[in-house]
Amino acid sequence: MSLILKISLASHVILGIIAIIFFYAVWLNLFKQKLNLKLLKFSSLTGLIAFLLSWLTGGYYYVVYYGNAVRPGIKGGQFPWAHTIVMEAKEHIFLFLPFLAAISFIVLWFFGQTIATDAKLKKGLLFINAVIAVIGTAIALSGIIISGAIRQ
Amino acid sequence: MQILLTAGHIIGTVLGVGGATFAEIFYLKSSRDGVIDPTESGFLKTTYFIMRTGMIFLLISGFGYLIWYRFTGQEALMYNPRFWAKLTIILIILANAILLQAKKISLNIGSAISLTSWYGALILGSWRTLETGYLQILIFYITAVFAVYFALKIIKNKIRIK
Repeated sequence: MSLILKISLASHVILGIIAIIFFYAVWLNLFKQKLNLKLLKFSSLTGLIAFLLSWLTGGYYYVVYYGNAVRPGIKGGQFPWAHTIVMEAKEHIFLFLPFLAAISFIVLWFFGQTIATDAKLKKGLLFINAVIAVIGTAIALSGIIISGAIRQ
Repeated sequence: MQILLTAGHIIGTVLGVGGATFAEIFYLKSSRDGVIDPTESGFLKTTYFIMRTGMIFLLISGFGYLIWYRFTGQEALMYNPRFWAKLTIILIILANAILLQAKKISLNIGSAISLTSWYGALILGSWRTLETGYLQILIFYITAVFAVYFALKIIKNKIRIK
């Protein structure tokens, strides 16, 4: 694996984890009685950027390397389901994340002032951030399952 | 690189386990009179912040380790039951923090889960020769959560100001 591919894979993983951490922070902080809007805005922006960069770096690694060099090894190995089920699910479900993250970002940045008074909006935002954190975590665990199936 | 990852993981563990321990001590001390005043609440908030900082260190360095395994041909380690048990416990810590913040569980249950989980993750991380299945580890962990919950309840009753 070339250096650029190693950097792509490492960036994909770490940026994905950073994004999950920031959206988990948004979810957690939305439960507080006194909302810290500055922190919520900063977390959603950082999380969104991290998800987008993770998407790009992961996409580059997948197109340039995974499809030709890794996938055949997994499919022909001891754990073929790591690709046929887990990777197939991961690469489709992952697509939701940047869009959900963008919704959370837009609501916080453009309607942030009304969250404290609008219970319905706050409930919706809580739900979206919970979905982002849960799907993000599932995607991260899928990544471990897929990587673990690669045996040299 | 490995030194950096190890240092990050140790710092995360120290902050997390230390934070969980002091959060419990402060909670027990401050609830002696049945009321948590603003100063005591401030101490508790600080320890929760330290625990969360520890968790961030742990997560980043933990996934750093996984990348390291991938680059050095040690991918088989990712299917280790001890590793998955540790991951499950970390997920429980994260879910517990959400449930506590949302006031869906009592502080007594939440603190027992937090304390046991942090020590559980520490033990699983350091006990590298442990050869046990995933379910056995989790059954032991659940038993430990109940034991810690009842032990803390006894301590709380003993130190309560009457």
